[in-house]
Amino acid sequence: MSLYYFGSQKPVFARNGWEIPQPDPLILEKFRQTEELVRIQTVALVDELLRKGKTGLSIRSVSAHPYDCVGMVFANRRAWIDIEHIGNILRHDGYRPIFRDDLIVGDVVVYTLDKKRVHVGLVTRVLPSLGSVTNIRVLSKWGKHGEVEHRMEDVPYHLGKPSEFWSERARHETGRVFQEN
Amino acid sequence: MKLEEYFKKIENVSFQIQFSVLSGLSSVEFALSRDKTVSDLLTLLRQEKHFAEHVYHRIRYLLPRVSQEANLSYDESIVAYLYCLNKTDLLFAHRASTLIWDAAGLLWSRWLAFKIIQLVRQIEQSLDVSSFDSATGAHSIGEEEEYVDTRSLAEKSVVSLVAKPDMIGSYAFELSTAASEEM
Repeated sequence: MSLYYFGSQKPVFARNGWEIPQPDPLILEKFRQTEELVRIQTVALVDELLRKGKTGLSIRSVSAHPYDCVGMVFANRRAWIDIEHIGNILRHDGYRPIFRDDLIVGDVVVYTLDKKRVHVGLVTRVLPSLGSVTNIRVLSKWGKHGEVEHRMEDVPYHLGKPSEFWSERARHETGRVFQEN
Repeated sequence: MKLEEYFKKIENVSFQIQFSVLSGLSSVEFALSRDKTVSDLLTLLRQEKHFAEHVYHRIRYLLPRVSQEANLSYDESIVAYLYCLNKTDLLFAHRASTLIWDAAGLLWSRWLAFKIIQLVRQIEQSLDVSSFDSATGAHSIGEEEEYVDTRSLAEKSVVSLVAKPDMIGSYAFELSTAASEEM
């Protein structure tokens, strides 16, 4: 049985050198999970969503290491970073908002609930679909649970809806110019 | 609804699992603020002040049951109770926070407990009601001492705030904001 104990916390920096805030190490000091527990809980959560008709969910991995969706996308699965910092991280890493139709593999999807940013995921596939609707698949880490690949819209209720699309690609590579409000 | 029924709902698997997917304390607090069961419990606690002690004792009851071996950690239940206490009774919120701080296996509860302990410390230092430095080891002390510390910190702070009601609103808000920014 592998059991992770949170050790010394290492700083994580954005591309421009800004240090991304992390929770006080004391907070995570006694938080420990086993892979077995994470697996059991992730399977239970995915099963519940499948029963609600959200098909095509695929558990990619489970880990006892404490990292979250932001840590998965922006810190190579090394850190737990509060989603409240996502705006600053995108800015300091040089990301720009793009249109949903311009998403390609590797771009970032930010989920909001009542206009509050609550989740982030990484685009893994953009499949052409019938009509004008694209079938976009996203990899994201669901809090304490494992990493799940899913249709972009199929996340637990509290992870909101996909509503912002971001890319670090150069402007000429990202199609139309997105007008920020 | 009776208090026991709220306990049953908040300790249910589906309640816990919906909050365990979140990625930060701010998201957890936001989600809790939108939850009907939590809102109803908050309303009840505001109507029946003495229920705060029951919620505190419920946290004490759950803490030994937190285990990384179990399918449920009760972390989301405990943080929901602590969230309610924090909004209704700072004394019990602080007492619960000191107990939570010593427990292993928790994330959200420990995160909120940290925030409450920091907030009480800042309130006390700002109001100059006692010296927190004299209460060393507030995070790793026995239960009897914990009670003493609690009184020296939260109770005096609360008493001071009650004595200066005009200070509570904006002042506590500033401190709360400062505490969250620090984290």
